[in-house]
Amino acid sequence: MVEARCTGCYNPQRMNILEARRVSKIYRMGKVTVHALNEVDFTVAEGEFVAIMGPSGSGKSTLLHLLGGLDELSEGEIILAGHRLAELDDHRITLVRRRNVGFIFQFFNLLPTLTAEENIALPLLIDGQDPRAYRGRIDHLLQLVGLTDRRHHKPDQLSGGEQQRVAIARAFVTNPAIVLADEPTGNLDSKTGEEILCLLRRSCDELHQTIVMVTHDARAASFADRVVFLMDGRVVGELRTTGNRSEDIRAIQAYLRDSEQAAEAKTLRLS
Amino acid sequence: MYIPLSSFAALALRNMRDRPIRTLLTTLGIVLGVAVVLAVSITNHSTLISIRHIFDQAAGHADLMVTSNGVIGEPFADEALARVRRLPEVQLALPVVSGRVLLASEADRWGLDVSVGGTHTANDLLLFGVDPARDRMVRDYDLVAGSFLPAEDDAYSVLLVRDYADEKKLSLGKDITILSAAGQEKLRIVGLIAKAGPGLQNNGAVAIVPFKTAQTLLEIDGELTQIDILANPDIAVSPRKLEALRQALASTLGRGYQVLYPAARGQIVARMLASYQTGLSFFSAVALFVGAFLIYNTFTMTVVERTRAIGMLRLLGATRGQITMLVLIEAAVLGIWGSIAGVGFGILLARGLSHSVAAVTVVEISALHIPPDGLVWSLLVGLGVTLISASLPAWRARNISPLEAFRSYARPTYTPLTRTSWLWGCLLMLVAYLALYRIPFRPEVQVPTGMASVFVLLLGATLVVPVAIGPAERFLCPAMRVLYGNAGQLGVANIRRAWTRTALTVGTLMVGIAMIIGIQTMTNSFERDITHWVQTAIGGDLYVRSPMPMREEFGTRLLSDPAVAEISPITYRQVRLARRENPSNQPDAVLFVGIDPQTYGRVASFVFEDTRYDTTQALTELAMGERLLISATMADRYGLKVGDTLALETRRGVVPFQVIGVVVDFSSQGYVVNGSRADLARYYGENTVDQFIVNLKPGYDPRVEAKRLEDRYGRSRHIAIETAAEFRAKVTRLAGQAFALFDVLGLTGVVIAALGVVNTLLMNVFERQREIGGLRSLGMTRGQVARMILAESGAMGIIGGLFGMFFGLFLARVFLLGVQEIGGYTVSYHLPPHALLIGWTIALVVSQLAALYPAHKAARVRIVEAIQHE
Repeated sequence: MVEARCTGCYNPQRMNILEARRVSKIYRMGKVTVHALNEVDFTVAEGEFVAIMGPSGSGKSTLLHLLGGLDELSEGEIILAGHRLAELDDHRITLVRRRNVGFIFQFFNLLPTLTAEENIALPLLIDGQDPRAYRGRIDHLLQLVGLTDRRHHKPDQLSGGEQQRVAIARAFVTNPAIVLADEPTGNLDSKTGEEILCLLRRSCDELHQTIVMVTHDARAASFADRVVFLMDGRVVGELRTTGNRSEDIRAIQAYLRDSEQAAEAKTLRLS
Repeated sequence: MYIPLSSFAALALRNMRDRPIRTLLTTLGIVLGVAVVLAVSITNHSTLISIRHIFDQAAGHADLMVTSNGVIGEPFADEALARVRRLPEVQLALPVVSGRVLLASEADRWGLDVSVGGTHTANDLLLFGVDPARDRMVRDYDLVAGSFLPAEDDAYSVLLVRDYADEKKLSLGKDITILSAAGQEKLRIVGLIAKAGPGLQNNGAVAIVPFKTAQTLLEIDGELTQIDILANPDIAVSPRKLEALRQALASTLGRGYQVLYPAARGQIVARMLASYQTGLSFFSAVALFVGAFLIYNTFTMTVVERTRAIGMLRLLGATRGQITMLVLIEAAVLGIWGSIAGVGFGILLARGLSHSVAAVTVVEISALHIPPDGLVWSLLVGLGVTLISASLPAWRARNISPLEAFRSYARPTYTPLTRTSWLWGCLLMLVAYLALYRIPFRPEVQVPTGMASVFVLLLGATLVVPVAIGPAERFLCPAMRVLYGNAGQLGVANIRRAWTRTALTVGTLMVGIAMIIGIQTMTNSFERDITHWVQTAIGGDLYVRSPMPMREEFGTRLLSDPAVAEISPITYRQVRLARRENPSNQPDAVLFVGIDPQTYGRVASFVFEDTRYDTTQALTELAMGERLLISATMADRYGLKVGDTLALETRRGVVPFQVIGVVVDFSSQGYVVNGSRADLARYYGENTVDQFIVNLKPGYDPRVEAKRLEDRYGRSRHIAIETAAEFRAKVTRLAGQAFALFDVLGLTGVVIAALGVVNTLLMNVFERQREIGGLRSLGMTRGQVARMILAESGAMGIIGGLFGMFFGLFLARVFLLGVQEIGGYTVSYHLPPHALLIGWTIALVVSQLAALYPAHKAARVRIVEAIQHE
């Protein structure tokens, strides 16, 4: 499916909402040192939809964790909505995350004891707000994700796609500066996955929501404004999409193929 | 139930609502724990209130009272009354003479009963002599028929309690015949009073007479047993002034008297029950301790199960503090619900318990009194224990990383018990051992320290359990395969999977079983020692007693009976220790058992602590005079040993007696010395006999001979004859009743442990639904699934039982140590095989019963749903 994109929503002149400078993450396991990320520079502008791609073990999930303040940096600096994460303690990072970051997961992560509506309101609740005061916003989000008539259903009464839509609405409810999505379509069939990606795209276009999505699926990445490629813990390339989805998918696949071949050649040369 | 999600805290309530069975089981644990603690507390409190009430009522409006020092009821010279009256602050001082007599019509039913407080006479009547002219200024007599006592001090008139009179079919204007030291006397019933005020004494079996009449009947002319004092009004209303008057009176009267507040008399009686009450409180605390395990285990499991959800909450911005609060709010709600229900159940339980305790302590509990702060205290204890038990799981929950939210399945990120926990367990047990056996604590903190050490010991033991899980699995596998088939083998293998959970559940079961075995072993050791003591020390075939003092000559007549082979007289007397002998907190008075060294060895013997010593040698030395055998309790409490001297106050002043041996003696709570009757006669003027121990010739049946001798002498001499077997049975029955309550409390612990087993197995079943579905799809029948769960539980039961046996035997030693510390009895340790069998059987049965519902749930798992279960 090729869908026209509102290219006017993304403006390169906008300020950066997220900046990662020379970010490294090093794991030490006994005598072995593993560079999960190696001096990565990465920025995301306000209202931008960025996809991070790379093969397994390339460091994309690690980067997402660091961007969300979930893990500690080994080196470098991350500035999230004006906050230098390395300077904050756990409690402050939690508060920054609470007010500035929304998360979408591969496995939805809804609380089984809460209804769809209550799951959406959960971040407000955690922030000490009374969800009733945000009724209009929650209604709007339910409408956006097309679940107005399912609002009182619990997760086990919803399909996978519906659960992920609840998770998206939950991620948006605090009006976060940025939404981090970890393989949001990884656990869905292709049709449902596409619906979810359209929803994310729409939120970016209509609500100017900044989104960073980790994926290994070229089709999913094609919904983004920009695709960043990671390999062996380094940013190895970047591709700006055109809005023509078929072309963008081909371009992304070609880029991936080329980089795989380059990597194989490098391995051969080394051996 | 709809819980509006208006705050973060409401999430906790949702979690509880959506896990109803787990919530229910955990709450039940709290309910039972709180209930037994409160029930024991109410019963203990009610017992004390009843005692105090009786003494308060009997004392009337008296502000102070004077009694003989140390030995309540012991007569003292009535010149003290004049000395008291001379003090200007004393408005009124009234004489009281009281003592035990019998209705002549009931002499044949007279006997000696035993209770936790010691021995007491059954069917006796309290003769309460008062000043007829003025006593009503102090005491309120609720006269329901007739009139009050005539003004003459020595009239042979009596007031009876109406209930008592009705029961004995006595009516106003009739005479009653009583038996007393002076023999047989008639008293005219001039009035009946209600069972209130002074009529409450001795459960209504009280005869109120003029005090001079009482003096005559009790043969204590010129002596009183008590003086009741009304202070001047300005002094009576000021506690400080009243205390000053009390001290002034004490110093005026000098040594030999004690000046008490009326309630203090009740306290002296209550002190005798204190050790038993401490025991009850301790075992009720154990039930709460087991409840704490259940709560800890449940919350640990809940946190593990919700690791991913908690990670997600952290990811969404919940702070560590919020996560901690989430767990603690859940605990607080459970704690409050459980405690409130526990309070309700505890009050009901107290009704049953108070009946049992009343039977054992022979204190009639008039009404249940809930301690003023008891309800609040119980709620706080329930809530506190729940919060403390949940605090470690809450701490674990707060440390769950937000990254857990990215995992595709719930993965326990920690194990509350690590593989090295057993080291901590050993360390705790070592600490407990040192506290119990090696570190000499001050006496006042010994008991609480000992109790705390038991809990530390049990905690340590629980931490050691995980070590056994692996080997136990290998060991039990073949047995379970035989019992439950191949499914049994799979079930046993499962205990290693959630081994932390298994270890804690086994630990809980172990504590319950250890308690049961500990209590059983203690009971058994106690009973054995008492029986041995009764058989050896008291000896004989028959005990001949009378409410009236017997003469030695009667013994000669008994000996002439063709059935009687040997006879030996015994005389009891409370004696006072010289002041220097007495450590501050020990009783002043002890029981002097006067024996006849010439004949005693033929009917009984002593049980010596040091087995090298023998009765013959002891009797030879006792015959020399001014020598004593002291009980092990005395030796322990007063720091005495063989060769020391024990100074007693006698009519001839302070006389040092030489301690020639230490013997086992359970009578009079162990505050007993054995000496010669000749010494009693010489130093106390005591020539009468309280009891003859009779040995029958071979071939004579004690029961037949007891009846024959009673028929022959009973009427004329008012004697009651009891066979040794009957007395032993009484003692054993009392011990059985007393310890049965401990057993009940121990069993409550096992019930709570069983709730833990159900909880654990249900969680296992829930967690393994997918796996069970898989097994079912591979062809496992529902029966096999059920057997698999039963085998898993059976394995836990066996391990818990084995550990329980081991620690139970050790605990028994600790309990016996406690008995010695608290009760003063030195009891030797006997290992009863049946206790081990009982404990282990309980563990097995409980494990299987507790597994029935989880096994049923597992067997009903639907294959398709299960394999879709995340």
